[in-house]
Amino acid sequence: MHRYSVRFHGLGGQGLKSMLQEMVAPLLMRMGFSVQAFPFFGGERRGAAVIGYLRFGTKPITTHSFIEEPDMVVLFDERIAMEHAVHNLRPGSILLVNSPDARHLVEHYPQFTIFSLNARAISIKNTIGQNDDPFLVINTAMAGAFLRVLEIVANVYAHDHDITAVLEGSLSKKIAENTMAVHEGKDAVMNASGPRPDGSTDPRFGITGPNDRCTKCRLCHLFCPKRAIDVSADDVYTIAGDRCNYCGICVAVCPRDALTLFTNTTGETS
Amino acid sequence: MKPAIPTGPAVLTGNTAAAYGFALADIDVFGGYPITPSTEVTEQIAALASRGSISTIYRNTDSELASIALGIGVSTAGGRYGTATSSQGLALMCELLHWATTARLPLVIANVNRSLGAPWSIHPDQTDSLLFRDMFMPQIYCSNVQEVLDMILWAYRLAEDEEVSLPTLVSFDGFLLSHTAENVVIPAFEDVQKFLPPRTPNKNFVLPDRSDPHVMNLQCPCDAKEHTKRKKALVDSLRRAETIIPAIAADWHRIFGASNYGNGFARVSGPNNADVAVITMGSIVGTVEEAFANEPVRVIGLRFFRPFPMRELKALVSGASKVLVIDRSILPDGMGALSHELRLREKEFPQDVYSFVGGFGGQDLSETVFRSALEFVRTHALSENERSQTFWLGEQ
Repeated sequence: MHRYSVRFHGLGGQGLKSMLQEMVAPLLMRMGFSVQAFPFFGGERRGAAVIGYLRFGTKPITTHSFIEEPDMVVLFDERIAMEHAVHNLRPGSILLVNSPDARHLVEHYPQFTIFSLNARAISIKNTIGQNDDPFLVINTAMAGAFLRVLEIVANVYAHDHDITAVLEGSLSKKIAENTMAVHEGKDAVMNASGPRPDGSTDPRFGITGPNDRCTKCRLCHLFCPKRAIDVSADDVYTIAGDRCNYCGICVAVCPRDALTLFTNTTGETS
Repeated sequence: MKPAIPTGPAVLTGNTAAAYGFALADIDVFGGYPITPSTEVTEQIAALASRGSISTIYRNTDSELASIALGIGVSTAGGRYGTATSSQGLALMCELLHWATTARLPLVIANVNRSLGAPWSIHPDQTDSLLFRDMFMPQIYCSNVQEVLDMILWAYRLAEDEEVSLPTLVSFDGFLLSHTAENVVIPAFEDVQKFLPPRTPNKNFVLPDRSDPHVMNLQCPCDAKEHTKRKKALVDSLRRAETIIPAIAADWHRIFGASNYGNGFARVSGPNNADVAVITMGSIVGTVEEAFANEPVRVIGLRFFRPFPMRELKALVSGASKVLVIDRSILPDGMGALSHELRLREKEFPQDVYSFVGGFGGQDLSETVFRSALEFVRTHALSENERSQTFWLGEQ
């Protein structure tokens, strides 16, 4: 491969810069590629827009321009303006997005091949990010998803021992958790336009609860953006599987930890 | 002491490469006053020093002015000093930097190019370092991350040459190099020692020993003859720098093997009989090379802006009838710093000099932008007015 170019869009705090420079770029170097990775941002603030650029290939990279026409766009957060994110992305190119349910993007952007995963859930489950953090770090789950998409679209395979070596070299803490998140990211990413096993929702995540710690405060019901938490007249709470998109907001707002977000990739719960 | 840093192939950002450059130069003191986008250089030297991975004394200073003051002290005492800064920080050093140059004190400043305000910007252009083009200070501009590391070592070698003995500035574009991770080979300390031996302080410029009983009044010599002599010596020192740069490059290649550093002054590609020659410097050199990869164009990435390598440059563009100069700076006379240098020397550069400026405040200079500039140069004959004017690159 002469050269492959990827543009990343994220928000400050999500770990986009360190994912590119401390995980993906060293990994691609270990695999024998010439590589170049750089971020571009304004103020270094949580929540501020961050753009990352990645070039890699078999020939030396000498240019230092932004990537005008990427082969792939990776979107860390759906709060980023989509038109901005997919600017100059050619039809037929790849869009990888962190989203509990990316089917609406498939409708809007039929010209792209869209992959998605719930990186937020993987991060929370592995105790990497705090669930009440609006800009929680999701970079290892995204790195895993990105590596899987590279396997599919570019025939670029990273060995597990290389991934482990790079993570051990770049992380100072939570190495096991982040390694798990990379592998869960790899397993969780799926073609968003493909069929779902149950025909509706993402089967790989679920919310359990509320359990007996629930005080019926209704915060989850009030904050649910999908109105997926029904409260009956006698105060029985039910989560409607067809509406829930596993965003985890109910888990975050619950003052009693009565709700739990889990992923089915390993069968473990958080 | 041998620094405890990695050796061999790695992926490093420009800032880390600069920090490793200082570590390999085994400097005595590093003065830190962090400023975006050079902050990580300071952070990493501080971390290496606090872990004992390098024997450098790291000092927090209370401003960039204090940092260069510390450097003056260290260098006067015969030590090896380094610091890193950007933009407004470099500007704040101005007063004492003049002292450091005229006192002939070798030290190295890594300057990560960033726009000088107003308006406020943390993104690159080269107006900060080029503010100092009238100082007797060698200025190096890096075109990739490998060069950032290597040029820190070159800078000490040049600065500490007995007859040069000047502070030296190593500049690299903010974000586009400082925050860009690229493939780099980190040289081995043993090899670096062959290239850059410990400093031998120049006795002419060192204060007397503390034990020396003589009292020396440094404040008011009122000696116009001495002053004039030193001014002349400054001119000679930069001339000397120009003569030894090829020797430094040759020494580098002898120890570390082949590179694209040539004789040191410039990175050159393309045929020598090309009708159009491009001169630029900094991170966009590689972008221009990729943009014109399939064009019969000679691309010259200037590595040394001071001393200005006039003879070298003249030879490099002698086969061209048109010279396209791309500057990331703008002067009050309405042209970029490189164009200004060429137009000052019409006899040496009789070609049509097309002056282009752009990339201010982080404006992206892409291959497309350069291709349209080349198209313009090929199809447009300069009017008399345009010989002293500038064209602005990209979207305005």
